[in-house]
Amino acid sequence: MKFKADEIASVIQKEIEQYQSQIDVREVGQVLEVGDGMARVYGLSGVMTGEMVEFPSGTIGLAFNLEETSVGIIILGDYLDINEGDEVKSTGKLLSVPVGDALLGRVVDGLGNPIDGLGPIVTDQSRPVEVIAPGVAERQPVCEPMQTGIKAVDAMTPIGRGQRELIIGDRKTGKTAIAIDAIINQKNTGVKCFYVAIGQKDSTTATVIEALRKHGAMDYTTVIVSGASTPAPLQYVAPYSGTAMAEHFMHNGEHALVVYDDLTRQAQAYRQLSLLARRPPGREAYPGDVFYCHSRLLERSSKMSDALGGGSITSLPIIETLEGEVSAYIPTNVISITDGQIYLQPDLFFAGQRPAMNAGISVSRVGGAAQIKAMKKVSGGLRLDLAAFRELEAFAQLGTDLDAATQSQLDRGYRMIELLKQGQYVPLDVYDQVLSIYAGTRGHLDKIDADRVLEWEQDFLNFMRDQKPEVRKELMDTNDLSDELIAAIESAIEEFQRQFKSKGQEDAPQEAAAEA
Amino acid sequence: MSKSNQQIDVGRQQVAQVYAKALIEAAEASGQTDAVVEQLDSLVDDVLDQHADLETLFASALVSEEEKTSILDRVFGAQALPLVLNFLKVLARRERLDCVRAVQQQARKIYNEMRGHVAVQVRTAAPIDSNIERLISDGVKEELGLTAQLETTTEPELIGGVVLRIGDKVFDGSVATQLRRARGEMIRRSIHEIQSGRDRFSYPEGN
Repeated sequence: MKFKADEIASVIQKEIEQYQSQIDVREVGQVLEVGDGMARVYGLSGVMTGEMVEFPSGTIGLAFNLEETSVGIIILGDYLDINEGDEVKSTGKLLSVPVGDALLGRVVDGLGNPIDGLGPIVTDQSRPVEVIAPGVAERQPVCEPMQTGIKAVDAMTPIGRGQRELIIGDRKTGKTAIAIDAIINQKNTGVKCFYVAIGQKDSTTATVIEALRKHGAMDYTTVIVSGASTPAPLQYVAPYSGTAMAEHFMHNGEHALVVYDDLTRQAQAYRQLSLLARRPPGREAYPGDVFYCHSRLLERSSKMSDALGGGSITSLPIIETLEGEVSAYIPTNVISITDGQIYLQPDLFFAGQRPAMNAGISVSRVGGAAQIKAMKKVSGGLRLDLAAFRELEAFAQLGTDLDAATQSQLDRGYRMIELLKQGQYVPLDVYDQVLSIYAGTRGHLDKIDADRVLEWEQDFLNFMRDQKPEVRKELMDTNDLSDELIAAIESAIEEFQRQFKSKGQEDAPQEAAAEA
Repeated sequence: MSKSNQQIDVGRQQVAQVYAKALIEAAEASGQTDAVVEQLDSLVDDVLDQHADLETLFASALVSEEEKTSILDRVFGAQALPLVLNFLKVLARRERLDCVRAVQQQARKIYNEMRGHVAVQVRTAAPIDSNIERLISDGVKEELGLTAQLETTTEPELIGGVVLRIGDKVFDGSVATQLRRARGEMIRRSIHEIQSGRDRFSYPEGN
């Protein structure tokens, strides 16, 4: 690429003409001590809390602690370039990050700087990182579904656009997998996704980005990375930056989904900063305002009123528990802030039930209002039935003789559990979910072997798509299960059962032959 | 970056401020504030700066309070104002003689505030003459209503213009800063340009 020298010269000349010389008035201070991402600064007498300050190396910081004789600054960037005695100047501005369509498909750090090597992010729009959440007058109740594509979640703990649904569980229980599937399922829905990785191993984040790219989800997703090796201040601001990027779309009447993976790490980063700033430690050494740290973040997820465009931010915060301890400080805080939680259990995970969601204690406090009618009809009571089944199952293990009713309830339960299993990266369309859950809850699977349930489901969905498109179309058009539609589905299932049975018989001799 | 190589000890400054305030109030009551502040200045400039050993001795915990008091009597007894001498003895008794420098700075600050004086640090690329100094003083007087006490330094890296520092506020009219700002502005605006037409700077047949 060659430049036209004369044209550049004319542009520069224009710039110089436009440039108005002003005297730069600023407040300054002097670094007293620096270390661990914090600097104590003498001076800066007029600085306000949360204000951005600049160090001579160009690194920026935020006024965090205003004390009688000094100011505590959190350093957003490399603190090794800052020396004692350096002049710090206040900027009179708040920290802001670039926003807009240019960010989609990019990987950025906690301040919105690209780190994926794809060149600069060309946008002239930016939004402040810390803003006050929309008030009551600007909101409306959650009313649209945000399909995750995961049967267990969409049926039992449905999530609406504008909702905050916590994903909580021990390490290695598939928390991130649920969030990634939810992001992948937003393809072609116009929902913009933001994945904020806080304190994660960079290798893990790279795997996530790769998975998103492979499934075509990076086209509408921004990944904000503040890995385990970034200083605590950046880990602390990353979720707020991610939310600011999502707010741009919300205020333009669009929808966004933000995943915070995970907020436990952010709380730990905040604890580190607070302890270094010598704020008094409270429970588990967290500062007193760690609740506010999370509540002001999650409160920014909202569904705007129609007058303001009706945009929304849905958030899926992730919390990691230790040994299933949900009554620890941070888990209880975030549980109380969010509109429900998906609780993942290691024993279910290792028993092969994936997603390892515990139906008994997972809830969604608002999502039901956002389910499509058909889903509401088929999944009503499913959660309680499953919870009852789990109890019954434990009881049945004692080996007592069971009456026929209990045995059939157990059989139904085993098949529903099978039906709710789902592989990673294969989100299911909501209409397919309705059809398969309908078949399960109405007992059409009771005669099928439990280990063939998933095969049955797969074949059934193919059958409905290929041979009964009119039933599926009717469901898509009405979003509801009318009596006629139910009759049509029933007859379709009957027809399919015959096919499946004969297929089973065909398979059996083949298997026998193979074994021989 | 910073011109002062002194370490700032926030805790010591706070202590010193209390003592300085008490001293100035006592001096005011006896009507000899000017003399007291002047003598304190000369104590630092003419004595401590010349005899570093004395300062070490003041700060040392090995020297007893009585010894320090008698040293003060012997060294300053003849010349010092009774008020200043007594003040130093009070410092000695409270084991705060190591704060003398900080007290002097704080006393100077309080005195300046009382008299409507303000310390202005002037940084320029080239040495300035009294004419410009007067202009600056007049400007400060007009803007802040205070009499400026100029401390001038030369810093060739400023290229041109002048940088004034009053308290924590810096008024930066240096050419270096303006160039830096112009650069930032140009980059900011050209991002806009790049967006509006990415191939504007290149020949169409280029790439």
